[in-house]
Amino acid sequence: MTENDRFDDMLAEAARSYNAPPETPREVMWNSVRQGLEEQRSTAFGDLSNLENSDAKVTPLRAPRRDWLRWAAGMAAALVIGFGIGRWQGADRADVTGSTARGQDTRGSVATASPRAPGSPTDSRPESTASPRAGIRSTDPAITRERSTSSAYQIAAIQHLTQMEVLLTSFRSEAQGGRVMDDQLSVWAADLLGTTRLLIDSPAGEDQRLKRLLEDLELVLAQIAQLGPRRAGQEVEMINEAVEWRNVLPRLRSAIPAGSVVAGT
Amino acid sequence: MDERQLIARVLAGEAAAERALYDAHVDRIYRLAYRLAGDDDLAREFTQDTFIRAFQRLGDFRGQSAFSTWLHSIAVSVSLNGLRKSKRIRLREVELEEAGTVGVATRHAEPDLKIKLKLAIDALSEGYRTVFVMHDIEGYTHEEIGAALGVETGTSKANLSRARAKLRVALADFAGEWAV
Repeated sequence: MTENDRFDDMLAEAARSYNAPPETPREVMWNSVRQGLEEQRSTAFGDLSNLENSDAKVTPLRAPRRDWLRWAAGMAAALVIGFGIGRWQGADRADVTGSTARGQDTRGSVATASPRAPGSPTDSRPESTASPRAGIRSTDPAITRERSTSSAYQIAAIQHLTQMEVLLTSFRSEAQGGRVMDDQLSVWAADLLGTTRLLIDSPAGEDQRLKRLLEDLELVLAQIAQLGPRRAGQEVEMINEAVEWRNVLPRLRSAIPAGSVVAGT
Repeated sequence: MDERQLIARVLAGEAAAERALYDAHVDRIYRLAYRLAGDDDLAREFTQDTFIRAFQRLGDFRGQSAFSTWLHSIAVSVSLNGLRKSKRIRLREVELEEAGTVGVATRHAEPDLKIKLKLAIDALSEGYRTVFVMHDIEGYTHEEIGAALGVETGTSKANLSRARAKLRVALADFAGEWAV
């Protein structure tokens, strides 16, 4: 037996204690596996299911290479409309809550606008000082408007996710083919990154599952946006790994309700 | 029951078959994940992700290799990607370095050897460490390692040999214990 052989034996013996695993926590892990599978299998964003057109077929996204700019233009327009609806309804809600506040005297922060005697100095306070959030709590019509605002943001989120899918599909397709990537892919990713961050902070981000997905997308987009003109294969590989590791594309696809693909095409 | 039949039953949506397939492989996957991660939370996370991915993609499994081989390739990929992204591994290394300085006075004592060995294994590059852990600690064959890592069997052998050589250098202080 050589010295090296003896060393290897000693090494194998001593190495048994290296990161020695405890007993397998089978049941705990199985429960998590089941839960994870159920989450993946169930339609994402349950409260968005009512937005689906039941007659619409699920159209698989097969973005033709280099065709994504047309897609981008269409989807960006749809996204702007989605945000526009949300902002318009948000402003409208503020008006409603302002008028609601005038009709009430003793409810929390609404009181900042209401407890005033006619002709008193505070009577001249602008009505807009009433907190919109106070109105949300105080009247049913405001709650209804809150819901529709939230839906508008969710619609915007779906449009955004659809764009994301096209971007990632284009990215992967070009990366796998080893082709030189269009610089505009990075520019587009930077645009989407901004929208992603807006959505995370918007009412759409209150859906925790959507928020997690958006946060993962934020990371991937930041990587794509930072790709320089000389793209090292390793960088591209890392992005692909991130997409793969975070299971981004399947999650994206399950988050996009059937029939939502038609916009912008 | 034959594993192919079990897989077919899982694909047909039979929950009991899913559990049976999990039970058949979970110990080995968890052990490997734990050996690579050295952390129970990470090992659980990697094991769970491995099975979730495997069940999701079971329809893609063509049976060209053993199911275990396919599953291990997912497990190794999940674990290594997870470790790369985990900041916790750095914290762990710091803790180990601190632990390593404690036993200097008792140079040839067994615990010191284990600590030094642990540090030396941790310091190996990812490729060497993975092969060493899989072969010398968990007993995988080079064929299994090659399939899991997507490398040739010869590469696995070469990496193991280099890993051992590096450990030999790192543990030269303990030469007396095996030289005679």
